[in-house]
Formats: sequence, C-alpha cells, structure tokens
Amino acid sequence: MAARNGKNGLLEKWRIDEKPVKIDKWDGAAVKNSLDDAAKKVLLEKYGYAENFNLVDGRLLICTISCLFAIVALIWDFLHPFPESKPVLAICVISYFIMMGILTLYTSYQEKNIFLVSVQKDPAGMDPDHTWQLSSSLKRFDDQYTLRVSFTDGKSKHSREQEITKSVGAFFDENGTLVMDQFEKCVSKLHDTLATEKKTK
Amino acid sequence: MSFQKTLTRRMLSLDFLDDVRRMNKRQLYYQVLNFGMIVSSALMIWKGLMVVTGSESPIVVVLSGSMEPAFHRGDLLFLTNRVEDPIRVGEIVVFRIEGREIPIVHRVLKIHEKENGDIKFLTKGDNNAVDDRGLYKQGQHWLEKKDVVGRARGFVPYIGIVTILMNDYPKFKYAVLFLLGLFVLVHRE
Repeated sequence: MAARNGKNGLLEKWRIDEKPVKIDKWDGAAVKNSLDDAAKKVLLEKYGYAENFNLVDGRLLICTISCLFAIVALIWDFLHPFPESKPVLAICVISYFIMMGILTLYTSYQEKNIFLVSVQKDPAGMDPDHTWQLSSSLKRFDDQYTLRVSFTDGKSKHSREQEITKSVGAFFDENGTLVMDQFEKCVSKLHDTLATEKKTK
Repeated sequence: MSFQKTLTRRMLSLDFLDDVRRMNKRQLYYQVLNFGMIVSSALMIWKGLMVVTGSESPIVVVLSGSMEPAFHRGDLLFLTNRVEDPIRVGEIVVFRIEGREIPIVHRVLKIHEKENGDIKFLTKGDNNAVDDRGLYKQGQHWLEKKDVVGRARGFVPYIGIVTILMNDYPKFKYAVLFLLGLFVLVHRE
C-alpha cells in the first residue's frame, strides 16, 4: 500500500497538469500548441465532454503501419543480405512512400486543423450525442490566433460553427505564461454562443 | 541573475521537459512515432537507393589518398552496380575484400575473362606504388564480380569529411545522434 502510494506520488510529481503553462513567447508552434491545449482543457473539464480519439488514432495507425514497413525491410535485409532481398525491399520502400502520401492526404483533408473532437452526452440518455469540434490556425510569424468551434447536433446532423480571431498577446503575459482566466472566458463565450443558438433555433 | 546562471538553472530544473510532462499517452506515443518516422524515412531512402542502383552501398566515402589526384580523402561517390556494365581495364571500381567491411576505390589493371563472362581482375590505386595483391585475402590473387560494390557515376568533393570525423571520433557521433534524438522526442510539432 505504501509502495503504491509512493509510485503514485512520483507520477503525480512528474505530471504537471496544475502548473501554469509557461512557454517561449516567440516560438509560434509552442504558442499555438499551448492555446489549443488550454481550449481542450476548457471543453473537457469545464463542460465535461468526452474526447473522441478516432481522428488522432487514424493518424497514429497510418504512422505505425509506415514504421512497420520500414522495420520489415530492415529485418529482411539483415536476414537475407542484398541482392536476394531486392524484391522485398522494393515492395517495402514503395509501400512506405505510398503510406506517406496517404498520411499527407489524411492530415490535409480529414484532420484539417481539428485538434479536438468531443462528445456531449445527452443528460436524459435518450437522444444521440452531440459533437463539438475545435480547430484553430495561427499563421507563421503572425499573432492572430483563430479558434473555431463547430457543433453538430446528434439528431438532426446539422452543424453550426463560430470562430473568433484574437491576438495571442491577449492571453499571454510578458514572461510567456498563459493567463488561463482570460482564455477560458473567451472559449466559454464562443461555446455558449453556439449552445444558445441551438436552443433558440 | 547572469545569463549563464539562469541557463544552468533552467537546464537542471529540466524546464525543457515541461511539454513532455503535460502530454497524454497518445501524444507521447506520437512523439516516439515521429522519431521513428524520421529514422524510417532515412532508412527507406537508403534502401530505395540500394534497389535503384543495384549496389549494396550506393554512397561511399573515399577514405585514403590512394587515388589522388582523381579522388581525394573525404570525397563522396555515388555508385551503380548494373549487371550490364562490363568491367574493363582502366576503369575505376569500388570493391570489398572478403571478410573486410571497408570498400576500396581503385583502378582495374588486368583482367582475365572467360567465354561465359566470368572475370578475374587485379586492381591498383593510382597513387600507390604496388598493386593491391598485398591487400587481398591470404591466398587470393584476383578479384571477382561478386566483390564489386559498384562503379562511380558521380561525386561530390569534401562532404565525406564529416563521415570520416564521425568514424575517427565515435564519441562525437554518439553525442550528435543523442542530442538530435532527444530534440525530436521532446519537441512538439
């Protein structure tokens, strides 16, 4: 029991979910990632939606299959030295680059900047779940961050979306620490606007 | 606080790992996959070159000055090993001596050819005083087609010096590879 607590304690110390997010304010990728993560947090923790991992899993699967082709090529070539391994190598190399092509298509057309697909379960348990999707964009060397919330009604399959564009300077302080309160307010407003639209329609 | 002190303190407190600590299982797996994909891409390009050129080592670095002034130490050579290319006296071939890993880039001096196309040939480096018999395996006096890694089709001067450095100072190689690997694993796209 004590050992288990000890292990949990170590894992708790490693994870820093509660520590305020501090990033290099000049690193565009880090800024976008931290804003995306914070938006995810708001939707998942404040509104209690469940994250749907299908989109991400698709990408992970494609990447895993590509790596498997590479591993097969490596092992086969090791066991049957070149040139006997030529046909197998050729197949693996071509398959690998086809998988790369599939990955690029998947990322561009399926994923499309979406970083969260979440499901709002109907409290009454009767209607099918509603889907909330978050996507964002931040151009290189630009400070305008666009957050897009899209709501898809479970029953009617209609979808609506709202977006907001703000400078990242509104959410980060001088040191690069994310001011969660400001950002949460912004995300919640966006979410609530969409939610009330739903009710009035 | 001075820049030096701040830098040391930040590195020791492992701030650069903060991103990793905030990742969930899927994100961690994706970081590892990312690293795997970079390695796989390099591997697949190399194997792809092997298939296309027909040579087991499509890119080699000239390691010694035995072919000066044609090739210098550190030159990068692009090889092909097509079955149709006949080996003729005066041409430069890259070959491996049985049991040794290092490819040698020398010129063909003499050839004995059978009617069915089998050949035995002797090589010598342009800048060497004697032929390569002294380098061959004990009891071996001629090289055969199977020892050939390929023929040089193109070259880039000097770039191979990096490979020579990495081989002469393996600690440097491991340090560079370790740092690169760490960077890819920790950095989010």
